Amino acid sequence: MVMDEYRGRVRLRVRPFPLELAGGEAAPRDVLAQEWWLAALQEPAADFVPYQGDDWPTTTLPAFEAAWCAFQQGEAAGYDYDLRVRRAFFAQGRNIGRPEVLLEIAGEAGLDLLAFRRAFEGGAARAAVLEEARLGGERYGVRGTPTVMLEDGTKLRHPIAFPRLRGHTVVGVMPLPCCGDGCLEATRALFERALYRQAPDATNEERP
Amino acid sequence: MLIRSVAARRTRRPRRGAALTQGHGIAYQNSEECVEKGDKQMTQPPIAELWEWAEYY
Repeated sequence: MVMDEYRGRVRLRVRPFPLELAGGEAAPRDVLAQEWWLAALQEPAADFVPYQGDDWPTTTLPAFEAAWCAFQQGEAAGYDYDLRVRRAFFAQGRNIGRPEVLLEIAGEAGLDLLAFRRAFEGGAARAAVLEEARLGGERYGVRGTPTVMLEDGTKLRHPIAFPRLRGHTVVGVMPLPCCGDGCLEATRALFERALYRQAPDATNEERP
Repeated sequence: MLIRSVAARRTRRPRRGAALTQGHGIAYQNSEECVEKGDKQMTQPPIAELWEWAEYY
């Protein structure tokens, strides 16, 4: 919705930062299961169904590669596919670490499957994702997700609440900065910040 | 006579509006005349980017 308002003026660029490359392992299931309700609270318009399967995704690299392939078919196709992958995991309990699931989603999204499969099975997608992750960590100092920033690397404060962890246990949560449609204004503020990046507004700039 | 008039047409200065496609675009786009004529919308500013480094969970 907000992306449409800024079409032609600000482009949101979703860049891959697979945490398994930064931390050496995929997000542990026991931690993520505790955070599930937190995501549901902040985005009431989306469905969040606890993951029931035994085959928890041990990697998200294939999902990033698949999304890269979808973006090769156009920006709108890429964003649609990206959202479908998130929905598949959070609402439908599908293992997005499995290539066959990602191909299914490509079919559901109406992508050109021949082109998608060719790109997915080639090496370019993997190389592109790894390069993005390297850039994020080494050049822009990304340490966790989501991290929002301007093109010059200025980090902005994302309007979400992060949990406080003790070991693998969630022991608290920051105050929710917004909820549902209430987050639209906070999101617009990020786009405005990108649009008028010459006129800094300290209110949503990340403090070191 | 005919040949001369064709040659004259070919060397005639381009109309201001047409200049955008004939190598005079930048000067025209930045001119006050351009703004007065309301042609400024033909100048596309660069699209700013907002980056979100994301994971799937």
